Amino acid sequence: MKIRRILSIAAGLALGVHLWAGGASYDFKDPSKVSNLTFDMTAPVESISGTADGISGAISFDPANPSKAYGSIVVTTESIMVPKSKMRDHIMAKGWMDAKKHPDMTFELMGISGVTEAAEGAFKGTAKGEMNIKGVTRPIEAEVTLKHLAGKLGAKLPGKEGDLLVVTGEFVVQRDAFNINPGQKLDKVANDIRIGLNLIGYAEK
Amino acid sequence: MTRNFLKISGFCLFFAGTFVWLLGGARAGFSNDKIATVRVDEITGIQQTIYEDGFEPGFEFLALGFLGFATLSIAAAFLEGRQRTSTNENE
Repeated sequence: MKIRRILSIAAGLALGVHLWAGGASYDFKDPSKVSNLTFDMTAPVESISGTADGISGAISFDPANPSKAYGSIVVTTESIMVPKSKMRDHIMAKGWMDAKKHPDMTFELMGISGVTEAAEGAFKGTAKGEMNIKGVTRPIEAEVTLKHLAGKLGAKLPGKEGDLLVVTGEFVVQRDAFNINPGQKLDKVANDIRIGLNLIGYAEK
Repeated sequence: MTRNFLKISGFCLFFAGTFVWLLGGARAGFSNDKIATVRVDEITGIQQTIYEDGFEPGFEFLALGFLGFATLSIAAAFLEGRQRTSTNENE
């Protein structure tokens, strides 16, 4: 708990320095409700796919120095959706995600390595940070693409001026690493969870 | 008469199960009570899946149709065998 507090303070300080240096803070609470996170689990008996759209958080990003991006993304556990209502009830239950006790999942972004400019304003790289699910924190690396849409805020939020930051990417986590019913029902629920990111950040000028 | 009824019912179950499964898109998974619709945001190009109430029949319809067909066919064969035995005994 203490380490998380220290990390949060350090991230906050870094964010402040970064903003002062010319970056902007992008708010990931998407009013257009398009942002989402997808997940896929392929087990021998059944494949499970779903989404989560309860996304919030902020990332500091400077297109002149994308590797220094910092911030955190929070996803509410209750926003997880799957095509079967009963399955969703199971996912929210104590043995699985325990949504009442652990209402949020958090990703702390600590920087991006190996950044290459794929196109004008689009950067590819490996996001490094820490993922917290069900109170368990693990280091995570995710291949991401950050697309900086300068001056496009008005297209999403009419009457407002600013930029958009589109973050897409994919990574795999193991459910046993995050204490999600470890070792149980592996024939129906795969251990590997493939997570896809489809996020939009808003920065008003 | 009963044997024929069982055989026809078995075929009907098999065809009904297969028909419902095909109608639902012949998916490999189990039935869903939410239908997923994929939309693409024009500005950002982000893909979004929206779940709406609805029913998508799954693989279990095909399996139940086949199971019904198999059960009724076995029952019909059993009745046929029993009838043949009683006919032989009468002769």
